[in-house]
Amino acid sequence: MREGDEVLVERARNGDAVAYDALVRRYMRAAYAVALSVVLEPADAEDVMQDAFIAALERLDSCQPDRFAAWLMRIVRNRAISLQRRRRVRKSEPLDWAAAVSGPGDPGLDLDRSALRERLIAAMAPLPDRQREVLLLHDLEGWRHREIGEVLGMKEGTVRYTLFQARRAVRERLGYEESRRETTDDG
Amino acid sequence: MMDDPLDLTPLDPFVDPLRWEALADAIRLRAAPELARRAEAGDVLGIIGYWARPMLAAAMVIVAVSLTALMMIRPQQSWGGVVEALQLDEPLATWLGNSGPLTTDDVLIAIEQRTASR
Repeated sequence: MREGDEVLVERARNGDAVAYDALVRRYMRAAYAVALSVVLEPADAEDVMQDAFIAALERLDSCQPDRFAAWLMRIVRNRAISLQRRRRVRKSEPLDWAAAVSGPGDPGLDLDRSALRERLIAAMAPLPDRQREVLLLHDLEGWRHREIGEVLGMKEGTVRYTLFQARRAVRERLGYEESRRETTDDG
Repeated sequence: MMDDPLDLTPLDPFVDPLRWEALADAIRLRAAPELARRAEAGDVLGIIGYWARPMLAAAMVIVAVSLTALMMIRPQQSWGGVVEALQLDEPLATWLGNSGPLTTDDVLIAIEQRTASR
């Protein structure tokens, strides 16, 4: 049977590695999605996710066990924002996307994935953080509206509307990119 | 349709199970020292917690038994014994025996008696 967050948090507080690992595996994808919604760089999002889990363990005593997910996502978001600020200051060169998130398979497919990834990120970039967060948690991680609402402190109806807006904006942008590309190819 | 989910799988690094495992392993490795520290702290507190109640209960029993035994062995401790043991002068012994407050007369009489006895 799946153990509740409360039990796992209590056990992890006492140094139970199995319980901590279970929490990591349960929230790794969501933490990645939240980080990605802020930093918009898969490699950075992975770093943020890892750092956030370590920070969460160090501060686990201050967590209310039944609110673990929301608490963890706050840590992830704050770390992502902080990284983004540092990155802006550094003005570092963009990371290699294909290397950061290359899936298994043939190089041609990887190239396609990489191009798709870049288009998706470009389409999501102008969205407000909250819209990106909801979109990624729902369409990438498969969370339900209710779960997203609980973790982000939003009403279920607001989550639905935010998601609708985000999808519409991304679709419009992807469509715009598509039509622009076709125009360029024809010309 | 406008509200169908978007296909965001190109953004999913966990499509590759090996990558997923590698990330989980990396986190586990980094968390190991903190988990060990917590486990150690938990052990010490656990031992204290485990022994604290029985030790307290045992101490209470010892105190109860000791008091009972003391009362049975030395039933009534008279003032006379205490005064004798502490070698107190007569007026002081009297005041201790009466639990009332001291008056100025008592003090004057005590000084007078002491001066006379020397």
